[in-house]
Amino acid sequence: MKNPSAFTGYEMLAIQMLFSGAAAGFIYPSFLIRSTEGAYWIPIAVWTAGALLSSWLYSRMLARLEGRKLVSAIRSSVGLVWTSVLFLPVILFLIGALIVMLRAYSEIITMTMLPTTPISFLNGMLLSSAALALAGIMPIIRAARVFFLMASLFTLALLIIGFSDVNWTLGTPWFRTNGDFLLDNRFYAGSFLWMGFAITSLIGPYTMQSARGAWRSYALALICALPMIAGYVYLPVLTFGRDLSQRLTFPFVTKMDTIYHYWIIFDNLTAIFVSVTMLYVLLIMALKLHALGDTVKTLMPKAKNGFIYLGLFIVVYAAATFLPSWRELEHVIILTVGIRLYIMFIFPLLGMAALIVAQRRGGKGRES
Amino acid sequence: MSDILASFYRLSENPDTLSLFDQLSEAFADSADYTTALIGKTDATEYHLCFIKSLCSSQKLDYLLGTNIEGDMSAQLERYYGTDLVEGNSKSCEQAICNGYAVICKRTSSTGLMLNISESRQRSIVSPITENVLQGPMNAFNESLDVNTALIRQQIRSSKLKLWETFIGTESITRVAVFSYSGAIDPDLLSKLKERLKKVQTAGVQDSGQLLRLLTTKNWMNLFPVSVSTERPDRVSADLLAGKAIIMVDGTPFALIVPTVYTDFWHSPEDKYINPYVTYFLLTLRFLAMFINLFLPAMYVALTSVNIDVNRLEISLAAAASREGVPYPVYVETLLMLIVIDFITEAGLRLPKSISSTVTMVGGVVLGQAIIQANIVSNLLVIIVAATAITNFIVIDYQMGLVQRILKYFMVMGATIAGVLGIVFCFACLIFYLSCLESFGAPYLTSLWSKKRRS
Repeated sequence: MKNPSAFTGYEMLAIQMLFSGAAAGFIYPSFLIRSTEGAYWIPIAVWTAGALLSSWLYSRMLARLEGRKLVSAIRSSVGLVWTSVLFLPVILFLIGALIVMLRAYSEIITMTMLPTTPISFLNGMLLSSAALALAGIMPIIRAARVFFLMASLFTLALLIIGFSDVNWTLGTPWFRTNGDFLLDNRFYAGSFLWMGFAITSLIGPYTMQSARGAWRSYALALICALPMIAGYVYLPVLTFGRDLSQRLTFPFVTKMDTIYHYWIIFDNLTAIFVSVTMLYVLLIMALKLHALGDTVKTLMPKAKNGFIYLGLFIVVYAAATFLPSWRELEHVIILTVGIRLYIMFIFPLLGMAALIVAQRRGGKGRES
Repeated sequence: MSDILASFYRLSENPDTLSLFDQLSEAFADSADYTTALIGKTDATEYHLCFIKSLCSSQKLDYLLGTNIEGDMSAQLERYYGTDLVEGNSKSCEQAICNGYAVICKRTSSTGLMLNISESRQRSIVSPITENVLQGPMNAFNESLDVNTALIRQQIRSSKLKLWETFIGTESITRVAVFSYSGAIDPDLLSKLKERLKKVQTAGVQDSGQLLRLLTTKNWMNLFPVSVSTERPDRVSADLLAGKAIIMVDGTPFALIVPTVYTDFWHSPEDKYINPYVTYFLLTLRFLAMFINLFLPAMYVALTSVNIDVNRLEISLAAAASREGVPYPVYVETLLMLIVIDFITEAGLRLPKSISSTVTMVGGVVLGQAIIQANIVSNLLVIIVAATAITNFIVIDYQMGLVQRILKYFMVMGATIAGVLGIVFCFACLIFYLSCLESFGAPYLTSLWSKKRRS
């Protein structure tokens, strides 16, 4: 599409739900379960509030774009150099997020379904996402609509089945917390789950109306995703208890492994969960790659699209392949907390400031 | 009649160039069915009638030539009744003869009069062959564009039904018509379609499918059909009212409906004529068949060779027991059986009906039984392949059915490499591919439902 339009409400909802599905299922639960001894829903609620605040800041920034794309609007406001400085953390964050998502998913496949398949081969799945990213935002949106319909049905079914063999007393304390999670870096490491709006903000032009609509859709998606996120966290805890869950690398995957019902056709629900997650992951990687490619293209207008995406593919693939182990991956996630918090809260303020300054300059210019 | 005679005498002569009669005789020199007849003679010149007898109406010719050629000319010409006479030069006369006209010219004139005595050879209107329904209109298009136009106009008796015509093919000069319903169609789509048709460069067009290939750019990208091909006037008229354009080619009974989205290929014309709940049930059945056709052989490969633990233990044991004695890997036996069943399908389609049933019987029952007894494949696989073949025939559109037949091999390849995850990956790639496709500006993977509702 030559002139990509901003997402419609349903499309935003679908993409944000897919984002939650891609990020919440395998890394997030272990971080959250290990971050607190109190009630788990409280850190989730805190992050939900944080995500709403962050997305609101973004929507205020996007409302000033007047039908332009974020990167090009800021570039025309403060020039190429300052735009590059402002967006360098964004680019690093997106590359990091892609590396983490790809490697984490490859690891989960190795640990559950294909133990003898090399990581370097599994990481090759990025190729399909890169091809979709290169095709443009409209193909991504169309694919997202299909994946959302299919994956959400399977996820809902898995969550409902996940309620078998739960012991509600294992979830205690239900209401008590001493705020210990606020001092735990794993609580902040889970911030990647709440950054869906930041990524979609980089794609497509926005107006005041579409920015408001996007924020509303994001808020709705967040509310719809909360039961899923809570399910991923609570179902393993209600099955294995707190202590055992804290020792598990993938609590929800292990939970899926324990389910057995005579009436279920498949014996191994983990395979179903991992397969459904693949739909989420492939699409969200395509979205992130597109956001990244679009940003780089605006900063380097002379670069050819094909070469940009090829370069990004090579960088992400190589980095994800050469990460030595799962533990290193966890360290990377914890080390990049600062950059994610910057993207969530500081970047929209700086972007807004840049746009306001440019607007005032423009106003003065017109007056004089 | 006096006008005709007056036209005769006005035919221009150019002594510097070859006469029209000679030019036509030269142009049709090696055509055995090209006929010239002397129809009149005066002191000054002779009058000739030139035509291709295989394209002309014998009845009209009889009226024209039945009398004695030595007789009175006016008496002969009284027998002609048809469209107005048009005077034309050698080029237009040559083309007119190719279209079934007769040309009357003086022996020395450089122009001639064209008489429309053409008679089109066509089938009568019969029931559809590829789109059978149990309830609904039973007539189908034939090879005549005029008849097809009439069939459409009988379905939509409105002045809003518009028809635009052009000729395609430098040699075949085939009539191509674009139908649209004013007010429902997107004018932008219509103008772009006309532009694309004008740009088509080819020697000849024999079928609408061939025209579609010429119309679509990036043919290497298009595995899926980007237009529904139909021979039913009721389907065409319904789609016209829904805002689509119809392309018809003279000489073929198949109309192209554009733009087309993926879900259009799964709707039968009958769906609108029966109870909506039954329609939903049938649609579900078709999509279920599509998924079974795509995934069943691949799942067999994945669950019996890569992800053995995913399936129920009892089924895995049964599958292992049925494969006892089979010397080949699972993917080899699966591919072998899929290819054999495609051979049988293809043989059944190409042979006459009386023989094809025998081939199906021999292929399906005898070969299936023998192949199990020879321990080449497991009996579980025979069930799977049979189910796959049956579900393939549930696909409404013939072209989409062919694509489905190819795609199942793609899924089997994915399953061979990475089991269930390979299947999911291939499916995701398929969705990505479909999401990139467009049919005449309409995204292939979106429903036109919202647009219809708005209208």
